Amino acid sequence: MTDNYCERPTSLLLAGILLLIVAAGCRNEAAAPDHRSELRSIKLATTTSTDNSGLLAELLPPFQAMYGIEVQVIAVGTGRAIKHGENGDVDVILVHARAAEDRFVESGFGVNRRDVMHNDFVVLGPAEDPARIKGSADVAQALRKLAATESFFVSRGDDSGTHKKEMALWEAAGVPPEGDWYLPAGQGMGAVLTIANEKRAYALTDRGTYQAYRDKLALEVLVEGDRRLYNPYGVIAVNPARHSDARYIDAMTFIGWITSPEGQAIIRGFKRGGEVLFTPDAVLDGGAGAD
Amino acid sequence: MGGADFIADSVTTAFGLIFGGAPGVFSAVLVSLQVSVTAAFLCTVIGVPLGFAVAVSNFRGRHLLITLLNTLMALPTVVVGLFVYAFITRQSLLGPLDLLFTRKAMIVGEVILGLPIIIALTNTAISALDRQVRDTAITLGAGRLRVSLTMLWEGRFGLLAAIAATFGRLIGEVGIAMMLGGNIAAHTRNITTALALETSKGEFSVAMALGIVLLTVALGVNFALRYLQGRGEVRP
Amino acid sequence: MSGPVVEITGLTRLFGKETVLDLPWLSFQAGRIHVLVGGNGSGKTTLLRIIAGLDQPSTGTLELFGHPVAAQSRSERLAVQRRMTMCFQKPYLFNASVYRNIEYGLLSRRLTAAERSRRVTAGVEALNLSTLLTRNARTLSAGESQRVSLARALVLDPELVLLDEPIANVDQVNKGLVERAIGALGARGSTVIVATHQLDQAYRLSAGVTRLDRGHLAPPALDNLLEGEVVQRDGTTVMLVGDTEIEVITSKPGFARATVNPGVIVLSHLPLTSSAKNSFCGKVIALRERDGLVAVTVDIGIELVVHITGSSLRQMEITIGSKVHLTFKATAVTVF
Repeated sequence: MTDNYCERPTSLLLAGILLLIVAAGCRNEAAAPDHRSELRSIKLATTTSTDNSGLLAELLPPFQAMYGIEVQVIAVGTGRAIKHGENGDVDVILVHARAAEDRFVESGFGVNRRDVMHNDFVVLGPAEDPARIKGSADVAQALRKLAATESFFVSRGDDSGTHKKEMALWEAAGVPPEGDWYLPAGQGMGAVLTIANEKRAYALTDRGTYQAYRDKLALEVLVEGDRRLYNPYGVIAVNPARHSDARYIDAMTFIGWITSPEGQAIIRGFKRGGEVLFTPDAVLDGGAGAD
Repeated sequence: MGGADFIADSVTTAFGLIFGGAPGVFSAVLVSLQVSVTAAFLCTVIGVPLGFAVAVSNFRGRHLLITLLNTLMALPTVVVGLFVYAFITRQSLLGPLDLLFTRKAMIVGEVILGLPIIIALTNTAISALDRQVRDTAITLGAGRLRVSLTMLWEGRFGLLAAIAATFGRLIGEVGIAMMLGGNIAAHTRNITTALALETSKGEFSVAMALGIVLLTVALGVNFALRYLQGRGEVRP
Repeated sequence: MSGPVVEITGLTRLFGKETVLDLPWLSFQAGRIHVLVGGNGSGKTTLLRIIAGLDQPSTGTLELFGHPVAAQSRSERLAVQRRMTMCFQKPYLFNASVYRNIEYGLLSRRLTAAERSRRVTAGVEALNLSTLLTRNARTLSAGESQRVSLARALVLDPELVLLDEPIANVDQVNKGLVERAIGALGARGSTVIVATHQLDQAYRLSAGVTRLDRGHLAPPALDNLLEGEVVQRDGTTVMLVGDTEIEVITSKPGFARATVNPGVIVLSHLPLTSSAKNSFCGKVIALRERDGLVAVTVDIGIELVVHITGSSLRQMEITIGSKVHLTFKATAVTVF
């Protein structure tokens, strides 16, 4: 019935190749190992802005080299990162939303929260600055001006750390962010900046992401330095009492490392576009070598 | 920059990625292939017999079932991802299997996405067969299995189209890969999630280039499928 | 085997409210060629499909090879299925070479590759298909497809063959070929049931013709069916039917069937002198009224039926036992 089908060597070869690809997926080849127990690894949920800053690409390889633990990074919005922590889908979370972090620990989802670093948020806007907020030391007042002039503002709108900070600032300003000028994009920081750039609008961003995108943007830093723009990062281990499968020891090793003098030194030394992005918070004084 | 510049830039970047062999791109291609080819294979093995059964059967709710299948083809991938997530998250039924954020989970999600497609299209292909295929096979003394295989063979063009359509849907989807894979570099980052990442970073040319890479890969697999199916056969 | 191959009792088939078949009783003897004659809608295709097992009757029983089919298990039915086969009016050929098509049925029988090859070759020769062997079967013309379909069935050497309009689409050149192949099947001992709408074709194939009219058995089409050898005698063509010689007009010698229309035979008390060459004397053995005419059956060595009016019957005072003469022209005889 199947004319010469089986006699064609090329057909068999192609079938063989397809099968090999499928088989390779089942074993642990070319791509990194898939099954957890084959290599010590932990899963870290963090935010897209943290991942996009490039810090983790500097921070994780030395950790893996020293401890033999691979850190698999799942970069999502803050809300979702915390959710994965609550559900026990990951072993440790690194986010920047203090109120949510505290709730996370209080509810028993996480243990051993430690400060890691901070960066700050800045308000970006077009050079022509129609709302005239440039150089303002009071971010709340700057936001009031934006609302009053109905200048376009692009928001994360995704319950992320950045978004939560933004909401807190609108509340401090006493102005509801509503109207045709307010644009919640529901996407990551990079996408939001691209939109703001396109529309010549204002936006709130962490300095790290700004540095990463600087050459693509025609926007400038207009407001910075207000202590309410301070953006602290916390790392929390998922509670092993809650999720017995959580790799608690390895997660603690990771936490220990990024808050150690070595880890902190890497953070301090991380630069983008010639500027330091993060200020380490864990080791307050100079620290005397590794322990 | 204008549209033409953007495309030109993307194509150049694509060639650079493909031939320059950026390691991230290579591993993303491999993950895409491993996940989608495996999922398409499973869909075929499970879905073609089911689609065949629907085509030759004659039970009461048959039309309702077909309507249902056609509706399921419109499932958004993120919905499928969420659905599977609910079953494999740590505290759920299948949590202890440690499936979340693995390629296996991506395959499961893609199989769920693809099954309605392959079943519905197989049903169409077999139903479109001349009624006489079955009659002829029976009167020539074929037993049940041979009759079924003969019908599948006679319907092979439609079946190939069904498999190709399913594979195309699977390799191009991003909602399931993102939700269930987590876009973990070197593990579950495939072409589409890498594409999404680059887009979210504003790296549009790189994203477009990845799109071109994806299409090239998909083209390659489709050529392989077509070749396996056979050349020079006259279409009915 | 002895006994009928197919026996049908009280069989009806309804499609919705429409009665497509209503056959109180019908049987087909083994080893012979039977023909079902009827136009479109006569039910002959439905009947063949029911016998072939592709359709189920609404009521009634079907017995094949002496066993009722309704009670059989799946494996028994499959075994019966493999003792017979069917060729359809518009055959479906598989999307593969002609060779593979012909071989298909053999794959379900336990045969060696050599035996399969031998049979396929024989079938191909019988139906003049050797130039088409490697062609994809779906590219063939209607007539060629019909012959491949027949070859497909022939190679199975089945005990029972059902053919639905096997010659309808075949080109003139190959018509004779196909008729001979069907004859060969009968000669081999297979039971053949052929459905056709052409009466002359039916009688070329067999004397056993059953007529179907809208699902019902209809009375036979012919009163005077003659079978015999056609030979040349001193410049005239003569058909030998038993001991009787009938002058006919035909160019084909050999075995043939023919008929004489009862309405054109002239009945007389005395022999007629005329241009009509067929003149016989015999005795009236039966009289029957039919549709305002009288059918007079006369034994002249063979039995012939003549139609005359009632008044003629009375005028001529014909009764059973009357000695009469029958006269008809050579051209009045239709040779199939």
